[in-house]
Amino acid sequence: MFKRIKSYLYLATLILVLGSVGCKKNTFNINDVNPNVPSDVSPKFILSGALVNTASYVRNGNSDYIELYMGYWSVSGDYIPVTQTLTYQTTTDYYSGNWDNGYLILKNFRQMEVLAAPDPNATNYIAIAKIMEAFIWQRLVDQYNDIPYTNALNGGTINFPVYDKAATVYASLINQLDTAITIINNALPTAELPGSYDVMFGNAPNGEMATWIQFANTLKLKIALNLTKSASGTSLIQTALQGLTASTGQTGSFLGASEDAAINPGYSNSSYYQQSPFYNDMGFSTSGAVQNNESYYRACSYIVNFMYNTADTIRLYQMFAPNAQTPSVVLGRPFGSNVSVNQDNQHISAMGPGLLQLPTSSAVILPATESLFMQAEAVFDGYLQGDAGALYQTAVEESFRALQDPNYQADADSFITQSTNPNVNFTNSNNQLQTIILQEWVAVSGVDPLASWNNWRRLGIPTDLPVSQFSGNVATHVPYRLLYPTSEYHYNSTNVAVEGTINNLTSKIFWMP
Amino acid sequence: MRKFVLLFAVLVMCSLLAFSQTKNVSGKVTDAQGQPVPFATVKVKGGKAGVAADADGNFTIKAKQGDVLVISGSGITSVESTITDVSSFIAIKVTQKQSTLNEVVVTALGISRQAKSLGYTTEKISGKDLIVAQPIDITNGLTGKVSGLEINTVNNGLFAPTRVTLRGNRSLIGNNQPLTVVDGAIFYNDISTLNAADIESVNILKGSSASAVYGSDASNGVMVITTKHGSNNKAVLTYSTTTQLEKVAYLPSFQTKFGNNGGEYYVYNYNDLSTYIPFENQSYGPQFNGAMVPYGRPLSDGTLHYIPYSGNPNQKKDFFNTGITEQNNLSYSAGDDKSRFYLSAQDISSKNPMPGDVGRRDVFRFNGSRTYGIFTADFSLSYTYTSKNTTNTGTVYDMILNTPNEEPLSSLKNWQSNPLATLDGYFNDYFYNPYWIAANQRNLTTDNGLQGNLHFVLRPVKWLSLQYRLGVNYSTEKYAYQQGEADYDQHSFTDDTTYFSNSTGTGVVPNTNFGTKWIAVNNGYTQPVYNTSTASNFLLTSDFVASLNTKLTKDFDLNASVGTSYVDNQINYLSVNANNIFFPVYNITSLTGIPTLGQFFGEARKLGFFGDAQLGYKEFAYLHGSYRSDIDSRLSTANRFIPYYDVDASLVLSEVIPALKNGNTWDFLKVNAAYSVTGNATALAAGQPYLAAGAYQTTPTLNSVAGFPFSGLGGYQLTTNVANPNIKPETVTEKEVGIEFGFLKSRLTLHGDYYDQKLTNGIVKASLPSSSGYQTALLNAANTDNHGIELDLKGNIIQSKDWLWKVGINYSYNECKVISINGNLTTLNISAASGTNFKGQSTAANGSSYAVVNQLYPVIEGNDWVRDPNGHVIVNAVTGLPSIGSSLVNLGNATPKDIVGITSSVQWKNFTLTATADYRGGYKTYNNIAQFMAFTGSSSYTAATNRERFVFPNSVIDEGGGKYVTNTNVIVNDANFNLFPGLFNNVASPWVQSAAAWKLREVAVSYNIPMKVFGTQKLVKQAVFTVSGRNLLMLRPKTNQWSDPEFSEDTSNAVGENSINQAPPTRIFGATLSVTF
Repeated sequence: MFKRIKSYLYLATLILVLGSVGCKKNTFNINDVNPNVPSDVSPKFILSGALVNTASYVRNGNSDYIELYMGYWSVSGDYIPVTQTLTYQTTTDYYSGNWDNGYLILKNFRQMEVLAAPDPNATNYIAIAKIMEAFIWQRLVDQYNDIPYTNALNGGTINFPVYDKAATVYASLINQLDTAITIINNALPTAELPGSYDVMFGNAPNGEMATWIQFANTLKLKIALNLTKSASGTSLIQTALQGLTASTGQTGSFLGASEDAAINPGYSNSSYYQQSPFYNDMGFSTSGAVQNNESYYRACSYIVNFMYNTADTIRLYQMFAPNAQTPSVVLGRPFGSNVSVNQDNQHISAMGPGLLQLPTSSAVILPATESLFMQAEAVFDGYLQGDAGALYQTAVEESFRALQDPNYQADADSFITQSTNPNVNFTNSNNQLQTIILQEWVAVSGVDPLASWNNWRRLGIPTDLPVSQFSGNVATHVPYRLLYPTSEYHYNSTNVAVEGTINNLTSKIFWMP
Repeated sequence: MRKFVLLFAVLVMCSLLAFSQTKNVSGKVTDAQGQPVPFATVKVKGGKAGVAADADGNFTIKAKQGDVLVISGSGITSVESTITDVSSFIAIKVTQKQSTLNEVVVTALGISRQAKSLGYTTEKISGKDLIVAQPIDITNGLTGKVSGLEINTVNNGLFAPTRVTLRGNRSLIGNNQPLTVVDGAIFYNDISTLNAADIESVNILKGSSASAVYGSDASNGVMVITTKHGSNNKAVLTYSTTTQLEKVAYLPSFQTKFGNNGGEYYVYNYNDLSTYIPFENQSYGPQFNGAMVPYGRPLSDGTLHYIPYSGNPNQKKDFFNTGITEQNNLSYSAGDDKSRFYLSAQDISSKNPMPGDVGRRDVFRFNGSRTYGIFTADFSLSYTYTSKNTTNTGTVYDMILNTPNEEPLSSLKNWQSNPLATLDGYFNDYFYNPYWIAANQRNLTTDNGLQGNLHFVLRPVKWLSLQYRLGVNYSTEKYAYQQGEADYDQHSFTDDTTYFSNSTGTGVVPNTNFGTKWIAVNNGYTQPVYNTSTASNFLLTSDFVASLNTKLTKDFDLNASVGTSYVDNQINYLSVNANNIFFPVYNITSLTGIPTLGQFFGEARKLGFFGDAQLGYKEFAYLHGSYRSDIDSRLSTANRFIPYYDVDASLVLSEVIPALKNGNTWDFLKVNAAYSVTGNATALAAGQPYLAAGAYQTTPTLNSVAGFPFSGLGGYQLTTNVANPNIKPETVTEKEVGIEFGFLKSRLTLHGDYYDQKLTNGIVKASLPSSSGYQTALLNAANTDNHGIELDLKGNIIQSKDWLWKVGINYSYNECKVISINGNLTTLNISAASGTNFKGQSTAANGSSYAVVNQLYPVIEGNDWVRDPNGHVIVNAVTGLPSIGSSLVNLGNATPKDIVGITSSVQWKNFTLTATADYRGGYKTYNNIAQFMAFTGSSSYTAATNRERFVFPNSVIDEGGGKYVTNTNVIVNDANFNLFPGLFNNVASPWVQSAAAWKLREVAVSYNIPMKVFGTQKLVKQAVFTVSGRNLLMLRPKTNQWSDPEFSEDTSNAVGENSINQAPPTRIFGATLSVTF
């Protein structure tokens, strides 16, 4: 018996040896490196990718709901009305891309800082990352109020980040932008310029990093102005804008005339994914077929009537396309309209050539016109030195330019000087702030509706912003915010619960009066 | 290579040893049919110890001429045989007792064991039981026949895929389907590519204890498939031919009262939906009145075609054809005592009820074996060719639903030249003719599969065998999507004249104010589309096993094995989505723009070390254990050599306590228990069973941003998943106890089991809040508890000269509860929501599968109406309409708790009637199709009140302050398109129904044609004619008027949701003639 057991043991050993001898030492290390995708790249690849993602984030559909809220767009009469949209009954999934994609892009900019940190010549990447992060953080606060900030973007270490007070975030963003500007100013002479990988300011005539500083200052202005009606805002605004100068030209601290913050990696019509994002959302496929949103979102009668009433037809016909009727005119549909007769797509205007430009057009994420309107407002409010009227004029000119009017200066000047309408003529206006804000509201239509939503929530302008006419609608004003997304309620439930019950019609952003 | 050389050296050495030993008498125990009877005890009469025959009935014993051999065993009647010549091979025939308790099952690693010795539960289905109703996929032949086994045929398309689970689910995102082992080697090719006629038997190892020796792949049980290797009979040639017809049997319930109006016109005039709009896709128009109304828009020559405005009850059914499947099988089997040989060929050519969907499958198999003294070699080789040409089912079905009921759909087949059916002439302004889609949107798939096995066995001494097995699986798939061009005549762009019918439907009203044909204007000329991909999957397995089988003492038997198992898997994938091409020359060089490219190469390896031993005492008490440890290239070095094991025991109490079997009522009683710890790492591959698909999960990666490169400029982003260097296989701990009774001399047997499987360290791709910067993290975090009972009752109810009636009833109860997912995380999405999402409609409008803590796995979640605390729907006091809640709610569990299977086989003289039925209950399913039909207004649900306003059922009105009063008189402000497409289309809860169903799966009547029919010729040995039917009946609760609750979007864990992607359930009728020569 003993002998037998010994032979079993011998056999077992033999088998183990047999099983192993065929295997070289690295036989089982073949999965340590993924042969399909890189695990490490230099920061410039993250920069180009994250900027293009930012362009899509801002201009490819996430803001469509604000276009509806702000009286720019209406839902087509060709489609079954979606009750939830027309009654502002938003779910936690409603336009949650604003949240989810925002954080994912933030994480990439954060990663760019990490990748750049060891290289003393890569400081410009760190500065750009901080500026772009501030840009996205502000959009998150303006749509969601309190957000995870300090603990955010640490997945793997902190999977369930707690929420920070929106006011704290705002204050921190101003510091972050100052830090970024300091980093640029202190960059080594040998510091690398991202150049062609900087698909926003890589070719800026004013110099790449100088333009980033202008953009950073414009973001500080954007953040500061939102605080004008908040209790403790004034001191923060003053701190933020200290030492900055307004200008209609390119010599001031901010983005000036013709200086759009616009992203273009080389958009083309060669593939669905290479189209300029707004064109991709609201325009046509590479083969020219109509995209869903082109036929679904149409002009809203509120802005169309406003522009007719202010004799703003040049911009109107650039903003919206004349309809398929004879005579062919720009026509809008009231939001939530109960009528379809003569309100179908044969009658109601689609996006016009000034908004829906080309599949190759740059994606503007902060237009020069908005920067100038903000400067005008800041001067008017006394936060900056300068000529509010001149800034206003340049702002309107820039709006005409953005809408592809070849004679934009002359047309804009005659528009604002010949009109007696106080909503147009700044000099004649007895409520100049309202004039600035209303024209800014027109100017950012289809480009940055979040800016005018911010203004409305802050200042109540336009004062007669309509609500949905839909029969089931009980809201008396458009919503104040988005609900936190399902992903937070599902996956960060403990922390989001601290924010309590959110109502999109009554819960306010902290800076709202 | 080095390994093989060494192996052969060992084999040769062992052979030399063997030849130097004393000669023995060898023989074989078979049954009356010549089939081997394994494990019989062979003794020399009057001698001391005997020997046990092996799994193939072979034995060797020391004896001299004139000795009498006594062959005995628990399942056979003892036989004595006198040795006349010690040098000749002795063939001994025995009679097997009529009982299932004595059967031999093939367990893990291909080891045959007696059923009574097992401490865990297995079930054996013989090949001939699989092919009763000639299923194309062998899993269809298993449905309803085994407790604990759930097989879902997830759609009824061509060569429809199945989802197979044993004992429910354990893993949240890993594969829950059993491992498939064919002829001892792990099988990666699609199981449905096996020819059912080639199957000798399928042994189902239900629990993870049974499969524990597979270690980190073992937790879902195993289907051990053995193919025919020929027998030692004379040559047998079998030919069979089957023709099956398949007809659509269960369509959703359609309304046949209302015609075209999509609500865009006069939309808010609730009292006037009386205008018939001829080109509309939705059915919210006036009631049918039999008048002649315009068909679509005027044709290009200006003519207006009229159709009667009346219902057409068979309209949808008539769209589908009668499917035909022709199946031809040929097999040749031969052999003698030393060699065996099996050759087969199968050709299946199938036409699906979906117009244009055709497929072909050819399977060839060549198996054989040869014994040279102590050395046996066997091999199996099979090649499968499958081609499929299918359309986009969901798109076609959607268009069928978008066809109002009075439209003469089935007369519009000729889309090329019938002026009413062409793209221009088709009535529907918004969508294509479904016949056009069926003809112009084609998915072409060609699969080639090769499986080969080489198996050497060396028995140097009678108690020892050394086995080496080399297995190769190689499959390739070539896929292409081809979509024809859509071109419109100029008239469709320019002619805006339409003729509506007035409010009574008796006259026509011309209108030029409604634009031209919508789809022409919006889509314009649409270029052809071409996308293509190729994929290959290569699997190499190399196993070495040394087994011993010996009597330790008079009473103790030992069967033990040790071995190694090596697996190498490679996956290659390459795709080119050209999207648009210039002309319908389907080649990527015709592309019009920048294509989207995809490539993946994955390779992973695993080496397992295992041991397995069974100690038997006096053939009634057995203790068995196994142990395994793996090196898996996908895991970090720290996570190698994780131990997996099983301990199980079986005790035949009726042998221990003889009193138990002397009674007249029962004669057999066995109890068993098992405990095992096994693993599952398929979650690394998002549930795919392939090793290589889960490679590279431990390192973080970046991927290219969509659209890049832009002319030489690259752009990258982080993947949204947190890579985990410490990930390891999830652990399943199973406890199992069973009891088995035999009554009336084992004419009736009852087997009951209870099992509990606890999953710990379950791998989840845990969703993270995006605020963490990621969306998922691969973690060992989840815990589930899966438990249930299984009962199998089998009996020969009638057993007489002319009659044999066998009945089997099996029952399974299963519950898998999610204990935790990851810390505080309470939900995990298992699937993307199915169906389409319209602008402004959130994804939550569709039901979707989730894992939810403290709930059964998985559950369906979706939006529900806003309800009061008592569950009544709160409606608006003015509009009478409910509103939709903002968050997802649990709408029910999606896997059956109760499954009953019934099989019956009645034999009377030459006739045999067999039937299989099953019931599944205690679960829900989400019918996305109902939402589509609410959109189109084609379901009878949308016309239940004749489109008259009604009080919303079980509704209350919120009076504020937490007070709700029953709504008795506030009727909904519209029971038409504002209600259904506007509101019901956006909520999931009304479309979640009980999924309970009884199904008559198979019925077959076969007639064994008497030989006298063939006269005196000796050529034909047997001829059988069979008429069969599959899926003949489905009994569902009235609420489920939509589809087959067994359907789901794919074979993943996301069960419980079906949609337009599954065509209506069908019935299959067939006839088979099988002749044996």
